[in-house]
Amino acid sequence: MKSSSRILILLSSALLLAGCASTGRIASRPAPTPPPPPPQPPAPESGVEVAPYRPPQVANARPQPSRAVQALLERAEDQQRAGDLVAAANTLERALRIDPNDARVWNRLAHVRLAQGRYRQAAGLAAKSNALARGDAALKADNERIIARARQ
Amino acid sequence: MVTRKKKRSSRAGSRRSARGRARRGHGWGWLKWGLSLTLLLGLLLGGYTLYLSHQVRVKFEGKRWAVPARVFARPLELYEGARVAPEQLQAELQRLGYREVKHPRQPAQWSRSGGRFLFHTRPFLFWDGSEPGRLVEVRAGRQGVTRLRDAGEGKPLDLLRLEPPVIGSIYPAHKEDRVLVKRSDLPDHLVQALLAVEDRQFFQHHGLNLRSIARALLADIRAGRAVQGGSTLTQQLVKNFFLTPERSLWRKANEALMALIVEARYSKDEILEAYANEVYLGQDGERAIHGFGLASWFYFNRPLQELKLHETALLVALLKGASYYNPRSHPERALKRRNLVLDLMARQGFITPEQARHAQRQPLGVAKQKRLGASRNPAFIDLVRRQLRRDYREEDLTSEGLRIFTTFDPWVQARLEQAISEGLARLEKGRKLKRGTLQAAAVLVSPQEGEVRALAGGRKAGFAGFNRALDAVRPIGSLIKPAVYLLALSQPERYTLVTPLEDRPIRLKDAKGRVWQPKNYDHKAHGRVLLHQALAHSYNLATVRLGLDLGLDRVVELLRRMGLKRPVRPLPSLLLGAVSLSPLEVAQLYQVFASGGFRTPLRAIREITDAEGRPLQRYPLEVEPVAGPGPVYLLDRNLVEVMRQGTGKGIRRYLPEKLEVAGKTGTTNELRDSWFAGFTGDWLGVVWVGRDDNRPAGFTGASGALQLWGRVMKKLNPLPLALVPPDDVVYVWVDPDTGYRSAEHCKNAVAMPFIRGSEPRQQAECHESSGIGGFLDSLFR
Repeated sequence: MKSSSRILILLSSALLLAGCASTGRIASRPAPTPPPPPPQPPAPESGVEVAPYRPPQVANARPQPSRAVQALLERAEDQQRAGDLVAAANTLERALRIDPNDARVWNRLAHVRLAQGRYRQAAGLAAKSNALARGDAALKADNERIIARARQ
Repeated sequence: MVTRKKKRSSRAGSRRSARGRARRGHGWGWLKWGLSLTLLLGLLLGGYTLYLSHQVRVKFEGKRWAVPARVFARPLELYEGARVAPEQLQAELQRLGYREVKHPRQPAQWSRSGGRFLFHTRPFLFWDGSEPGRLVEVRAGRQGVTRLRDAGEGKPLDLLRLEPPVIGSIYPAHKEDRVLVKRSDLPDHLVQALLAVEDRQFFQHHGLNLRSIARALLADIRAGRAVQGGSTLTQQLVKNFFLTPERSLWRKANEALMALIVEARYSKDEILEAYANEVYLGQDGERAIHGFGLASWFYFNRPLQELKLHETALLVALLKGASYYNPRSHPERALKRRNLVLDLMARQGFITPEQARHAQRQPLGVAKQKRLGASRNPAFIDLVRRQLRRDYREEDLTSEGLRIFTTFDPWVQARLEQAISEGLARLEKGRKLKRGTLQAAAVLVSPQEGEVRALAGGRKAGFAGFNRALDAVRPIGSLIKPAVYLLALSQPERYTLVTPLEDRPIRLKDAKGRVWQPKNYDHKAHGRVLLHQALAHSYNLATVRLGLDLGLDRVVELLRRMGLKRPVRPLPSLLLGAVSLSPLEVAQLYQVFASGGFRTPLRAIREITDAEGRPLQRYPLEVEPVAGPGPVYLLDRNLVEVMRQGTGKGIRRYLPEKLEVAGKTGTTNELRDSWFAGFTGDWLGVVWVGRDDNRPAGFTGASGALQLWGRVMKKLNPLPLALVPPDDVVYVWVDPDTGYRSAEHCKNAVAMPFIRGSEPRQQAECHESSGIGGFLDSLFR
């Protein structure tokens, strides 16, 4: 048990330190410093509790204003269903101003542009969503579908 | 435009025929003569009346006023998690002219205790519908909004959009500015004050008040000159509307005739409304303040309906002479006149003596700053105008009452202006330069959405002069380099961050045989350097060699895709920034780096509606992928290195070590121009420092522009750059000196990002299978 908790401490400090890693030279260290975390979460080893992987920068990034964005996403959904695409785009742009790193919002805006027949924009927005989607495979697949449809 | 109902009336006609009646004469001949003369005169007068009547109708029913376009700032969005500190929220409420009270009950009132705000919003008509007025509770701390509730309904609120503050107007060449009000917008006590002071019989007379004319005439005769006016409101309106300020009998007669026509054609309410919109009530630099609607904003920073008795009394007091009684420059005169107005109101029974006394005890209450003029934010308004001019005719902008919703953030603008004036003063002091020697320009943009949020056209923000942010077109020096390196990194099979480059002297000859021999800033050649080091330290020789290898045409092509519009010649000197751009154009280029390779055309306007709030035009957010997310990620890591170990490391005077930012310095020949362009998680900023006469200012990008950029960012409390490695990027341990593959346990090994498949193959002396430290490796790999 003792050793596993030590691993945990090591792991979390590794994650913390990784946040400070940059491409440049890191001042010479007495002990080896762990590398930045790989993009995929480490496979949990049996008997060892492994903290879930979080990209280190996210901890101190923009706070998640989820409720506000969620409310706007729903409103845009309603507007799109009612056929008011201009209003839906408006609402989604408002959501993007609140959280420009939310891949879902870029994806929704891509859908609206697609529905408006603005294919070039749809593809651009879907690509943008992809770039922010991190591990969300379903979202990425949807973005790829938008890009494919836009190119037809 | 408000459409006027035509009131067909026979009164004017009957008056005409009355004048046509002949007098009895002394004989047939005389009678005939007299009759025909009278008939002729009557005809002439009748014709003239018809002509005037037509004029009146044109003026009244046509487009009576050129209503300038109103320019709005961005609306402040509140939600739990919004990064709005208490002082910012308070500043916004004050900017909107909300009143601080103990218990907010009515629209535009607020109270605060600590981080808890309670306020009642005004309803506002946005381009996408109206936002109702409501009572809201907000709790905010240093990290921003923590709680948002509809206090009226006692429910949590997801989102609240405050009304946007007005930041200026686009008025026509004759400089008349106004905000239209309807008759129903005129508060009762305003109308009462008008009647009490200007025209007691307004609702009784037919345009002229014979008794008061007689009284005025008598006073004039007694004094031997014109001392008293007997004009009704209608006459005053006519005078303002149609006539020149000359004083003559002919004009008086004309005025009287037209007043009668106006009264015959239009209702008292219509006349009152026209009067309220027409009158001149003040001056703001070159801008003339017309009508009570604008005057209310101009003097009290709030709409007319929210004014209290003593405030409306002041506006009415100004009718006698807006500059003589100007409450800002002559507060005592204004106060005396205002109290006289209140006395008159009480004397005529409109208010009680107690009400009058209470109002008279109030201070003038005039807002300190003139907030409405275009003069407050000339640089940004200038940008808005230029964007508009592509889509609208000048006369539409100045007359149609358009509502223009922009991306401008007044809070951020204030921080920017402060940073520039403090920063320049500091730079001048440090170099013992005369105060005012240096100039600066800056642009602040939201990187993902490409919205221009603040703009400084020079060191004096309120001064509408040369707009350097748009028009100071200067060589950009090393700011161009990231484009060259991005082009290289976009070819991972040829270039990675650790590709060795030659930083050796180079001699080039152009077609005419002229020699170009670039040098490094430190006049040294650094020999073999790694690609990322060459950018971090801004080595010229290595960059020129790299750019020539890549091909100048390809560099130009990339710049074009990134949004460069100016013609550039593909000469080797381009690689060191021999291309002149404005700070705004630089911001467009760096926006691509700051948003992961997606170009979004910068915008200053979001939406335009007509005067009634109907949407006319949107300027939508557009994105276009112009560089691969992988290469841009590598470049951005490299630009982070610039700020940690390279030419930008001076930033740490302003920002904490752990806050990640990216950027690049730029310096031109003989230190004429000092540039810095950089970005955080939420801001992209470009700063230029130099001199207007283009003489050397004596600052590098790091010692000049970077200092200002740091100051601004410190004030903005930015989010750290949170770069997400794209799927095609992997991190690999390398030896920092050789760029060879190393391992984490090796001395000095650094983790470097690579496009998958381009990781270095060559192994450093210390590598994976050498040494011991496989333990953590096995955990991570």
